[in-house]
Amino acid sequence: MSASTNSVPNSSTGSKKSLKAFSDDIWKNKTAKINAELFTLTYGSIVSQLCTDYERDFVKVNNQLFLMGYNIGMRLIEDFLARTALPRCESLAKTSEVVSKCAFKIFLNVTPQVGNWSSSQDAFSLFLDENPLSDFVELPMDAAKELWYSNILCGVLKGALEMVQMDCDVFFTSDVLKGDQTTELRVKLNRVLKDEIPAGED
Amino acid sequence: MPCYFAIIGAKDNPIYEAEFTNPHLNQFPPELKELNPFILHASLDILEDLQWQTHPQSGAHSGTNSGFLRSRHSSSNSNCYLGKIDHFYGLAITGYLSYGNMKFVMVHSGNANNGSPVVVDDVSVKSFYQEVHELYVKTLMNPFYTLNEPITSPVFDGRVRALAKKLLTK
Amino acid sequence: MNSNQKPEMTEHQKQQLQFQLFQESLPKVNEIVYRMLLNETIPMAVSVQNRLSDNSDTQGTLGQELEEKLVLDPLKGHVPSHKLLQQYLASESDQQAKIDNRLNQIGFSLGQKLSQLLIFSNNPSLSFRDMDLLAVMKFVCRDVWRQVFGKQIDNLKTNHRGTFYLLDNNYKPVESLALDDDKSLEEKALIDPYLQFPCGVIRGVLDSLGFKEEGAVICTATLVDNAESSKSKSPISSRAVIFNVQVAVEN
Repeated sequence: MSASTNSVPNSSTGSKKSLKAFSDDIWKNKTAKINAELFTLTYGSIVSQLCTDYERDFVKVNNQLFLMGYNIGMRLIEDFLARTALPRCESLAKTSEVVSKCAFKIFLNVTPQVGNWSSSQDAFSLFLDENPLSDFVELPMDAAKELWYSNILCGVLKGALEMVQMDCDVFFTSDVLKGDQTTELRVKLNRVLKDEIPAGED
Repeated sequence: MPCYFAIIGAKDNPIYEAEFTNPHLNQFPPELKELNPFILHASLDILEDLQWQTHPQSGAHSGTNSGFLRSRHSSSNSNCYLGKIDHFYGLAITGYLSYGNMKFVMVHSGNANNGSPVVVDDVSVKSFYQEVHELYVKTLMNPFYTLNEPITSPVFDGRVRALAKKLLTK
Repeated sequence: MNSNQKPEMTEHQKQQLQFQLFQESLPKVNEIVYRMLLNETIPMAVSVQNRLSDNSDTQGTLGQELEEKLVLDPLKGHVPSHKLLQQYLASESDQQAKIDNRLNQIGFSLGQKLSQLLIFSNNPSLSFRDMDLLAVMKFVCRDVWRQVFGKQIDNLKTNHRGTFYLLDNNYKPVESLALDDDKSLEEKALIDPYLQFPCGVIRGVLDSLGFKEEGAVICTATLVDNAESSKSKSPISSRAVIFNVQVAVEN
């Protein structure tokens, strides 16, 4: 089973602070940036094109976004590791912190809250109070039921975690765009891969 | 005073329309209510002519610096407001042009009972237009909204009506 | 002249500075993420084309089953990006055209919206009061390009009759494509889909500013040998692209 079972989800305050300061520094001083609005609009154009292509079959749109994210995540992790030179996470709790405080911060300049741990400590949720992908977005009636607008994020996390030997299920369980109270992204660790060749790489 | 407001697309197609009334004051007389869209459309030609001129009203500055897009200060949006462009019996028609050639137009009615002429309060009417322009741009940013199509979003409608309550039919 | 040590800023310069500060104060995201998103649209568009062609012969219940599988196993039928790009090269030209068109559309809807946002954001150097085609093209070269590609178009030429040449000496999205000098024709064909997005953006901006008649704007792009960069000592050879824009103008 995973290495996370013994550890407490919340690590000490000290290390939390240092990870935050570390990420802030990378974001502030070592990152080329673009306007978030441009990013939001471009992603919006991609999603709306997919909705047209799949004739508003939103299950297919969700899947295409997931696959797109997966391909990005597999490469984004390289950039992440090169930038941060962080060591391997010893627990899923640590992974959750690095994802929220470091990865989300460095790439999207937001820090989702980590919470909703499963009793066996093998699954957690990221609560996205801010989501730069979905600013301006108002889902039309037909899309509100099935479309997970930001599903690309699930794919990115899936791809990135897989590259560091973590086989996870990543999916949204709620989205404020659908009228939910929160935007909750669930990460569930299935197993830690052992030097297997990751799927999709030849 | 009651107003009838519409956004007209680049091909003179209606994008959005709304009537603002105040239950405590008088309403549009029913016979006039039906005429409103026609009165507006009759004014579009004048608006198009004015588009290429500098309007005397455009020098006026108003300082409504609230909201997220509005915070992009500088006054270059103020020349979108064309002021009173036409009149029809006791009614005044004002207009505003967005850079993408969306026409914002409004019929203002006076007090029908005493027949007093309409007085258009340029400052508040202009800020109404500017705020709606901002809401319009936000709507445009929604990936599910296509340029030049009718705006059906209840959120947009609600916000426009709230603005009208604040600035026009008070 | 002597009385002022520093020359007073003109009203326009002040506005420019304010605008710049304002731009800097806007929310930001990492540029890498944006570049990766843009680049990934090409394999994505290929993947969509594959699935649409597959689905044409699996109708009804079979499609339903497939959908359920997609929910349970989202990675079902996953193809890595580089394979999708190879598939693009191997596709028939009508398939390629459909993929290209999809990418062009994404650029188009971005251009339409971005232009309105940029103009609304009150850049003081923009005055669309006397909006003519040349002013719009300058807006594309300067403001739109800087926003999307982080640099301006390097050279704009026009015959003043609706034909424009926009030269970008270093078009970033194709920078990382591994193409050697002796690139084969086939590999050069891989450049085409990468040039669809910017062409779409140009069309979209023009459309939203009044050039919206069907077929009024034709935009094509070609990769050119960059004489300047081969002369310079820069180890990374940049890739120059010429965008050819034809606008039907009424006379």
